[in-house]
Amino acid sequence: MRSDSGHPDNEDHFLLVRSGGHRCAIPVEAAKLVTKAPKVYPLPSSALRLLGLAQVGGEPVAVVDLHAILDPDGCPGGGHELTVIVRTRSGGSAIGLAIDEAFGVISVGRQRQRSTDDPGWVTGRITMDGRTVVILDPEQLFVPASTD
Amino acid sequence: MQAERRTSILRQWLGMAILTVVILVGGVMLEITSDGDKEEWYIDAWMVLGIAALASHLVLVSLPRVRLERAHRELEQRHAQQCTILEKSLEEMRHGDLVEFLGAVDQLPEVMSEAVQAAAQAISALVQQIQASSVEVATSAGTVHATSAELVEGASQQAAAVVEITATTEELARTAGQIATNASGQAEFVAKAQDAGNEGAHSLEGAVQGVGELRHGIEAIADRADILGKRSREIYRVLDLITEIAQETHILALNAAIEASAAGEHGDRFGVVAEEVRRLAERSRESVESVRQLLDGFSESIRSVVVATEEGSKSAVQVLEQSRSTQDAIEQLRSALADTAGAAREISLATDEQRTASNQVVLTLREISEVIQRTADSFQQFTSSAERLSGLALSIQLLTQSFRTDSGHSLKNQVLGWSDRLRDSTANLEVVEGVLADVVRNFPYIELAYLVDTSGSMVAFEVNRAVVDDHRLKVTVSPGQAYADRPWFQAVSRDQRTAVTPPYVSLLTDDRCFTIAAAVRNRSGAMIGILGVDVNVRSWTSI
Repeated sequence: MRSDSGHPDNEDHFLLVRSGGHRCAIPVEAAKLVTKAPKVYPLPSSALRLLGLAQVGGEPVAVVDLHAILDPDGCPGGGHELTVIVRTRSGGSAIGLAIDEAFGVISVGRQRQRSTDDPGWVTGRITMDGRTVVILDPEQLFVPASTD
Repeated sequence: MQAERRTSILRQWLGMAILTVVILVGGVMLEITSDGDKEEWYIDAWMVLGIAALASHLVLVSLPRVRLERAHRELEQRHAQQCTILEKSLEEMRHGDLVEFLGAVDQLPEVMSEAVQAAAQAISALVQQIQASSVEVATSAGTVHATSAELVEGASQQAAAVVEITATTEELARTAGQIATNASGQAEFVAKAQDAGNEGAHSLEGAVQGVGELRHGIEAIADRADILGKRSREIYRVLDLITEIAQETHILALNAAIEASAAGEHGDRFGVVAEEVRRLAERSRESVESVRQLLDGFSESIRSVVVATEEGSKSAVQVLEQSRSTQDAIEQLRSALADTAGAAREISLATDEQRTASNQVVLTLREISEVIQRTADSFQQFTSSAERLSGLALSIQLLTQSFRTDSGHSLKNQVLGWSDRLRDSTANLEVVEGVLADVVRNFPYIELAYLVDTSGSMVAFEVNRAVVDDHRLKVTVSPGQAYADRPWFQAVSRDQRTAVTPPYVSLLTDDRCFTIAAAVRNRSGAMIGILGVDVNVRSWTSI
């Protein structure tokens, strides 16, 4: 039995990336494009995780430091060799995740995915080659922060 | 006297002549009487003549003869008296007492007394002169002895110095010989060093050329390495390009995989291709990385080669400069070796001459040493002669002291003067000790003055503390000590005259001394003791 995307129902496909010391799995439905890090124009008074604006495929895209998202208390990320462009399911807004390396598309059985109490944009964790891989939910990245 | 003698002789011849004339006249008359004429007249005349002749003989011969015999007897008596006086005087003279001798000859006739006194005074003056001369001789002998002793010591020191100089000169000669040998060896060594220097100069010249060629080779290697470096950089640029292409391919493969995944089962085959592409890109990147690492090693090797060639080039330059400096140094060394060889030869010649001269000096020094030794022996004999002369002078002084003269230098006269002061005072010990103290105080060459009684027992004595050590005094002298066996006591007791002993070693001072002893008499002339003084020869002669 396959899902709507044509894959078997009991497994999901993720784009496996690395940002700093973290490995993340981005659902391929959200990942639209992997590109070399574009020129980023910083925005004034922006949060640390927002590196700035870049132009990808003729569209302005906000580029976010994935490492800063995963480890807000840690040091800012380095290299940022690549940028993964993610979009909402509705296909509206796009956002760029600055990463260091992209390993490829992997298939992960759902039974291997563990749910966690992490913030909303982390939907679960999996273990690969003895390392913990964080499963991201890009939709949560587009949720406006509460004003409380 | 001669006129009286001539008169007496004339009278004797006159009596004989008258008798002869009377006899001749009587004979003639007897002859004439035989003629018978005038016999009686002639006989009477002859009788008258005979009586006249007898009377004349009596008057002219017999009476003067009687007077002459009487005068002769008187003369014999006077002569005997004078002989007695002379005997006594000569006895005093025999014992050297010129003072008593002069006192005795006063009783002789004036002419004889004056003559004998003149002779005695001449003898006294002679004795005093001999005394003074002997003192001068002793002083001179002492000076000569001291001088000759110094000369002997100086000659000995000179001999020792000459021996040292000889040894030093011999050592100098040996050293000169060694220096000559060493210089000769050094000259040979320098000649060998010159040859070695020439060979070294040739070798170094070849080495300089070799280093120059090496430098050119190194520079060529450096150029090649530089070219390799440029090529490596080009390879790096190609690798960068390949890496970039691989990265782009990798991204494309990723996007293709994403698209394939998004395409569902329709994209599976495309996804497989995309994955293969991504893997190829990955392998390309890994290969490029391997090539880059190899190229890094290669570049590092090239850099090392470049650095090594640069260092080699620098080293070659340094070696070249050092070789040239060494070449200059060898050239200077060759020049210095040539100078050294010349100097060594000159040193060898000079030291040979020095050795010859030193040997001659050694021979001369040995001759000088022999001369000095002979001189020292002569001085030694001179010293011995001076010692003998000094002893002879002392003997002369002692001989002259055996004479008593009316002089302050006559010890006999002095001792007799002191003995006169003790006349009739021997029982008074204070007077005796006072006189003895005066003697010792006023005559510093007298080490001991003493009075013994006629039995030879010591009555009193006084010591010259400046000459005698107290410690020795307690051992050798004490009152009551018997001196009867001493030669001076026996001589004075036997001859009743002042005695002078030969020199002997004093028990008090260990110096040579002699004793003068004189009888002490009472007013009646009887000997009641003997005064003795021990004269320290050293102090006496020094005075």
